[in-house]
Amino acid sequence: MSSISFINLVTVVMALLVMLMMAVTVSAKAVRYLRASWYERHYKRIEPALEKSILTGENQPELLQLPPWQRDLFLSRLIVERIALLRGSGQEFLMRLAADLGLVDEYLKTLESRRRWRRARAGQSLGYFGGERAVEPLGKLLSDEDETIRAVAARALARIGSDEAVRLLVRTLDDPSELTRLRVAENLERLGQSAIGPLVDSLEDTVTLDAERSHGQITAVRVLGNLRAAGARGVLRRVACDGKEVDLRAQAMLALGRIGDPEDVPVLLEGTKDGSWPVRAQAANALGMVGEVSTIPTLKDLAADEEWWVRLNACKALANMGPEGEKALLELLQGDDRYARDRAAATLEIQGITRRMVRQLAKPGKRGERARTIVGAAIRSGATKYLGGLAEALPEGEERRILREMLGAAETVNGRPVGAEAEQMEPIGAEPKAEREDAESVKVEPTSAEPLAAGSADVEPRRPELEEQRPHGPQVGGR
Amino acid sequence: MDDFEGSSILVADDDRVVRRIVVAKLYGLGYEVTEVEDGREALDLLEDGEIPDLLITDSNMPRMSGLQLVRAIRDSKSTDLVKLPIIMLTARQSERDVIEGLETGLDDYVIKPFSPDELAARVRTALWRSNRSSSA
Amino acid sequence: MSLEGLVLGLNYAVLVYFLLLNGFYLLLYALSFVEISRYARRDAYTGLSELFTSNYAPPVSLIVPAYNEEATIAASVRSFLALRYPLFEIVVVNDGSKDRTVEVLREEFGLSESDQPVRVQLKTQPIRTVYTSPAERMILVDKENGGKADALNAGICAANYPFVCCIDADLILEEDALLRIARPMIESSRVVACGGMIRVANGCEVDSGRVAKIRTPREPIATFQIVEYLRAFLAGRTGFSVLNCLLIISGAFGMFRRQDFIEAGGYAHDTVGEDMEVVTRIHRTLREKGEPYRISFVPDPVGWTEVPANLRVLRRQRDRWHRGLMDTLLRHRKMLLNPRYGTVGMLAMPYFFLFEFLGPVVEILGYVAVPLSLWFGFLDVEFAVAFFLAAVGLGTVISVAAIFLEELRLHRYPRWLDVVKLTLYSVLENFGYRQLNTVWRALAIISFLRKNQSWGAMERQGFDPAKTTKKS
Repeated sequence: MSSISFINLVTVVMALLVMLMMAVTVSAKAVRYLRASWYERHYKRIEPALEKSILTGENQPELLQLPPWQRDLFLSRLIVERIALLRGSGQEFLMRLAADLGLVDEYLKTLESRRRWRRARAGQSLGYFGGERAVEPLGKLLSDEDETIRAVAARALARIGSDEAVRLLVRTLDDPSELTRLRVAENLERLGQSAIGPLVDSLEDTVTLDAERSHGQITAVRVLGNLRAAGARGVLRRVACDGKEVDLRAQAMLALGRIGDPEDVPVLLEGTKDGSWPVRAQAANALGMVGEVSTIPTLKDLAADEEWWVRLNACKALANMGPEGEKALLELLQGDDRYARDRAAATLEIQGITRRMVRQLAKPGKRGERARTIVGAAIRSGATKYLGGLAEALPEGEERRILREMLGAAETVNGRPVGAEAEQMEPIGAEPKAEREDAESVKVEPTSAEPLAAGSADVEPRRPELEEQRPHGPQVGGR
Repeated sequence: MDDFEGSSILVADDDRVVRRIVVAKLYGLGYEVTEVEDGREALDLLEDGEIPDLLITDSNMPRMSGLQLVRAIRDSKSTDLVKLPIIMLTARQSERDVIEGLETGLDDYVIKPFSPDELAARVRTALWRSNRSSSA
Repeated sequence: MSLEGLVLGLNYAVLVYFLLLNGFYLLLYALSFVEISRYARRDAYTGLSELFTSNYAPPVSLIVPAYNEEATIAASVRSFLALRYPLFEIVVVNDGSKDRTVEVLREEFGLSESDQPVRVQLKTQPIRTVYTSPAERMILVDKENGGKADALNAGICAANYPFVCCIDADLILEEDALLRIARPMIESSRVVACGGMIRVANGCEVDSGRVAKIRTPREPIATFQIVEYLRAFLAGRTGFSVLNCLLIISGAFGMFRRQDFIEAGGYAHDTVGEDMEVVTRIHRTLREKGEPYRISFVPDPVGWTEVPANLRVLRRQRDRWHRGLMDTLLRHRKMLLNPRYGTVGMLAMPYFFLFEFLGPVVEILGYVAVPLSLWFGFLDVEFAVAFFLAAVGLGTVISVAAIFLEELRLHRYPRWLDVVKLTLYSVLENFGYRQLNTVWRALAIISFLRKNQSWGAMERQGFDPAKTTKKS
């Protein structure tokens, strides 16, 4: 009979378990429903009173009469919801209201709570209405053991944005969590001018510029660059020259470029000689931003750099330099260095210069001649697909005839039809095909890591982290 | 400046609190305010011929974003719609976003967090400008 | 050994197997429960909207492979363009469609031929043309047909940004899905890949490419799949991701770090289970390199997908999944029980071999052995019934528990009716639907073994992209 009871037991236990789970599930729904309607009822009562007091600018007695737990549970939420959206007098009023209601004192106490989500909520709310008084306690929260809470504290401090808050924030640029760092950077940038001083100090603090802290420093440098902080030039120059990390030096170059003071050109020129290509690439980029014509010869040299990214940025920089830069690009196009030639051709296409030249093909005299020389050079450097497409798109006329003729001539010179060559190519590689085959096991097409090929409106590098800009593999060997 | 009391304003925002703040402010100033929750709803209303004097729209809304809405309005065949003054009220604050918005055909761009008083002033100016251009 | 001993032994083996299986499920469930609870609490304090306006969030490339999708592709791309994320681009890859997919997109978005280059870092079928749009951040890569994996690889090559997110063209993404799936990867550079949750769109009301009202469908088959998906994602994958041995990121919705993805070699062309294979390979590559890394699953970036509502299509899908699973496991059998691969080798691989791969075989053995022993009188009826009840009961408890977790922390289904219905279906599932699946998977094993008899020269399996637009 023991087996009968065994089967009964199993049946009963299983059925009970399943039913229990089902009941729990349904009651979870029920509890949520009840809770929501309970909240709803209270909000309906409190929200209009709050709105009225915002409009009139007076504390409504209904609000002051609320018991503390209702202030905490409902009113503080409603206040935070609104402060987050408001600026100016409305915001000030709500902050005062929160202080009057004793919410600030209450939450300052809660910051010490042992339950982390209560700490989180208190920290978050204080960021909205805590004001100067909350800065120091929130600073302590920055070293909370929980990452989420650290981020909450950082955001709260950024929201308060006083000098002391900023100083504390800059320290968290070293936080191990990338997200917290990004958030802090973001918030510092939003704070603008008041963030510059502490950021500069944070870079000056570390004479040695050690690698341990490089993440924080890189972020600091980026923020300074984005803020166009002229006052930070001194320290940025030092970082650009003496930074141990490649990315740190590179970002400092970029930041100096963003600030764009011609006096920093010597530092940038120094950067173009750096042994690490990211630094050279960003130095070239920065030179383009500063736009000093005297740096054109250096950029021309960089256009023949062994690294594709440097060539790209150098040519882009030249394109930013007006007629003089354009002239330099055209010289590169006719020069001896094949790599520089290819890049120059691609840059001229992207900048619409090639197109302009094609339009001038039929012009009489010097201008036409120059245009023909340049288009000819572009064809020789292998940009036939682009020009072929242009020839298709041109209206019937003299320019089209000349362009076709030139393309046709190139065809016979190369001994193979231009069209067929274009077919075999991947979408526009400016590097000649043969070279690509040299590349052995290298899967990378050196020309093609171009992020901005389509001439997008962005001037900023679209990838924030430098390391992402690295082409993923060795470059074509044998140079 | 002229008095614009009674002008009709359409507010499109998916955030209930934003709508409440804006509506409370504008209503208090004597405007007639209609609220909708997304771009699609706003466009439906506009295409039904209920054209307000001014539109305040958020940029990120479900179903149809603010920019899509503005594009649809500016591309529309009705001249009333093409001329409708539009203010964008949004949390998107990067330079890129502002430029993109203004180029799409906005009359003004207000970034959240915002000041209701300032918004009201901008609303007045936009109304005044559109009034002047249509009477000229 | 006597026949009786053999059959009885078999019975007990099956019993032990079921106990082990359910025990493992319970363990995973417990891990998931803790993880999801923590996640839900944390979510309230992460300031997602702030992340959305951040200039510092790394940009994302959304890769959308398209094969003969002229009817829906424009609407899909439109809805993807409306996602909330600071900076992202959409890379549509036309995989040699035979219809007007390319033309439709060109007209709709004013695309023009561009000289934008594609880095050929993964081997793909030749790329014909790259189109770009003047107004929107989108690229269209037009290439020769080569299957879904090939199309995804081409898209990843064309992508400009450091994070790539692969999605099916017919997936309906929630508005902040990109922000949410990217968050773990922004949070820590160690996270190399992240999977999102797939939910069942059948029965839901869809408006302008967004799920407007969430409902359960009328068709029982689709409803069973809701239970299945919830269990697999909430109770299964979350648990595996806690142990850092998640082997599947759905091909329909997953995000990768472009560089690591390319270093691991991209999607394999010669398997039907390319989504599982690639994740397993990323695990393998990184474990072999000895780098610390994580592959995560996040329960609330949600993509909604239409699941098969008839048995024929469902069967084909399951057959493909199981063949893909077996193929991946066999390719990477070296990792099985190899401590060098950590939890992947010691936990995930054995689990998948024993319970997923061989599961259907053991289950069918049970279905045969128990009645057989009853017939011969080797086993008493009570034991058999009790055993069956226990097996079914535990399975049900876990299914209902998954629904509970959903209701407790994620609560996507607003209606009471739907929640009650889902709990009922998780009981009903054990009577018929489950067995059906078991048989299909067993048949898949047979067809797989037959095809792979000449193992030495791994045969290239035909790959029909039309069949694989939906995967989970």
